Amino acid sequence: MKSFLDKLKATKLYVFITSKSFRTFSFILVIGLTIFLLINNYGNKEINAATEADTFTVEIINVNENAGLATIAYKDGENYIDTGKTKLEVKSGTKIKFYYKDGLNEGYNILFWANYESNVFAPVKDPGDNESYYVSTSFVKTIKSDITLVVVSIKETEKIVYFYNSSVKEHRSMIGVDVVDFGKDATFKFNTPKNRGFDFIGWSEDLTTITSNMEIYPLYKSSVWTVFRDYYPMFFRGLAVTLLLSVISVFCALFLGIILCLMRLSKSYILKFVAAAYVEVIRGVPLLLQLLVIYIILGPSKIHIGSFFTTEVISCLLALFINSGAYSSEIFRSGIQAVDKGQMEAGRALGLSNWQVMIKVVIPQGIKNSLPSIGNELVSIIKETSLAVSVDASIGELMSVRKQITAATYINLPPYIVIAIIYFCVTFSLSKLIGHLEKRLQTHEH
Amino acid sequence: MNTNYNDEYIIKVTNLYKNYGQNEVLKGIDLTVKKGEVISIIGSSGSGKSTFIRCLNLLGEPTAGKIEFEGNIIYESNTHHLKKELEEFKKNNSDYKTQEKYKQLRKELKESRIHDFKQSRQIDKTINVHRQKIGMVFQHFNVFNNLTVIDNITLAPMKTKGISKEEAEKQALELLEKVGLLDKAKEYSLKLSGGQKQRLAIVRALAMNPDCMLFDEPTSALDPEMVKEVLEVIKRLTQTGMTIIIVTHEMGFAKEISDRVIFMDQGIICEEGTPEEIFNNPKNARTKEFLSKVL
Repeated sequence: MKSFLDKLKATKLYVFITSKSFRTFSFILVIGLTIFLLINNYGNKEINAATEADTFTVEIINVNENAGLATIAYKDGENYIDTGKTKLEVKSGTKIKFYYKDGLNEGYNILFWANYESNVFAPVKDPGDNESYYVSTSFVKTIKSDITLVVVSIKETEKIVYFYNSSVKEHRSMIGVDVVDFGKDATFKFNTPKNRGFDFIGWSEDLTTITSNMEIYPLYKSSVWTVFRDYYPMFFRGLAVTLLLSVISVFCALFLGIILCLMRLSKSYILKFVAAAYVEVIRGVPLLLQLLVIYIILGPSKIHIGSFFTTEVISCLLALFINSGAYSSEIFRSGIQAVDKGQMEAGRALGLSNWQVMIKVVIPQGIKNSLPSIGNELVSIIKETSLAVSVDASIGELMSVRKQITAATYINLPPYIVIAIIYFCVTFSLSKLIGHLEKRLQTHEH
Repeated sequence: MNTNYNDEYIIKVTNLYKNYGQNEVLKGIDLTVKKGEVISIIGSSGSGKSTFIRCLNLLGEPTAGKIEFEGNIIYESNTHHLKKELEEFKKNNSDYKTQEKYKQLRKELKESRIHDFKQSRQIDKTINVHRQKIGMVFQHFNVFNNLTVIDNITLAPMKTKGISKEEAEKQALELLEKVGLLDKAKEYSLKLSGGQKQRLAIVRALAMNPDCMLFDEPTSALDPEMVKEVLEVIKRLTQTGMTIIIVTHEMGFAKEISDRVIFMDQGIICEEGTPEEIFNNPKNARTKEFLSKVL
């Protein structure tokens, strides 16, 4: 038996399988395969559902007689935010299509309208119902047969509750009856995707007595897996934006880094000082702060290139570029300073000028030295793009996907965990890859 | 002994000083190198041999003294000497302030400082022309690691003399053939062995058609079996009539190729003479001691 094991250990296959590089590769392969399978198992059907969910329709239920041309807005705290749907001719039954891109992708459920001429935003109350507004909607993005409603507050005397799909008397139909207790989950089953676009508001039969004491919202039945399954196109879109932002900013930052590094290595004291001051200031100030400052400066200008590079995206890119430029200049500097001094001496001894040796001999070797660190810089920038979420969620990078999902499902933790796993998979496999390249570079040298 | 021997000097060093901070490494070196002469510099480690040879093409900037190359003054500074003189004068004369010589010395010192400043600003540009005529080979080869063998050789001639790539490569291949590296021309210099690297370094210097070659311990970093191939190349070079200054620990080799051997100790030239004089009949006590240890 022992001799068999020894023979096995001596085979080339065994040596290959147990080698470190093979293990690294197989690890990356497994991660890649997992992601691939996850995408493949839930194919086209789910993607269609997701694209459908990009739009929703609001139906105007009851309009005052004097409201012809109107502005549609929604309420965010104390402010009324224009949806951009102005000068609309509205009357009862008018259906208006909205896209999430219109800025309505966050939690809200009531739209307001204003008389266009008076331009005063005020919710006009339904004459027959004190608590409901006359344009109202809410949406649920997922098609689920089970919807759980949590009863948050209810009068102790009320036990039997009737659930309706709308707050407006004329348009609602009863969707369920249940005996509920305060804080109890009430589960209802729906056969079809009809629940989309419904207003999940529960009412008792006598509307006026209970509504004011009752708050009910749909609870998305969530786990890390279901969130990933239902929303993975959003996650991957977010990942794509994150990677795009980081690659663009790191790539541009390389040039800035080289320029700064050359300034720092030059003999001019002014250039040296400027470069050193830049690097030290940028490295000594938090990236988040730089990001916000740049956004505040750039924000009012409303510059944009195409539909993707909005002001928010541009200021985010600029901040990452400025920040990463400072770091990569330090990386290049250490790479260039690590080049053997003899290289410069030999070049100078041949009668070449300082710059000629720099450009032909020292800098190429310095850049080669700093390649692994540049890769690591890319990895850290991938993580740092998550700060963009503090500027504006509409940038749509991976971290901001959480906000969109929370708006639709009222859950926080599972999307965060999915995002964490995605970040980890990407950065871990990237840094493993860089480690492998680094090893290969070294073996080439010796 | 050497057929090319004539009175014309190629390098003339006068009263050369070099300090590293407070540490005096060279303390007044005078040397005249005639055209076609082969000079070996021997001595124990820390005696200033390498520092001296590096001062000759200003890779290490001297503190004071004068270096002439082919009749051009490439470095001259008296500040150090004048400072010392002034201090001594102050020490010896309590009423120095009233003396005429003191004023004169201060004036000279000021002028010398201005000269140093001007020189230091220009030296980086002017020295390149001279360095093109002074080939240098280093202890650690210093071949350009990011370039192929042939690019190592052609880089400097193309950049400084403006000759075409074809011409430079043709010349490089000829030189490579002479040192037996023709088959390595397209390889990266990083992959060569120590001996091959050093031969490449010699060829790289020769490609500039220098008037003079400096060797700074060319075989010290080599494995014993590779020393021979490098020495062979240098030996062949001496037969072409090239002016050579070589710092070496290979005593047998120095004896064989040199016209003149210089023994340095603690920053000064202790003894110089023909190989026979130095190796067979040393006069200086320090030379005797050194040679008895190494031979």
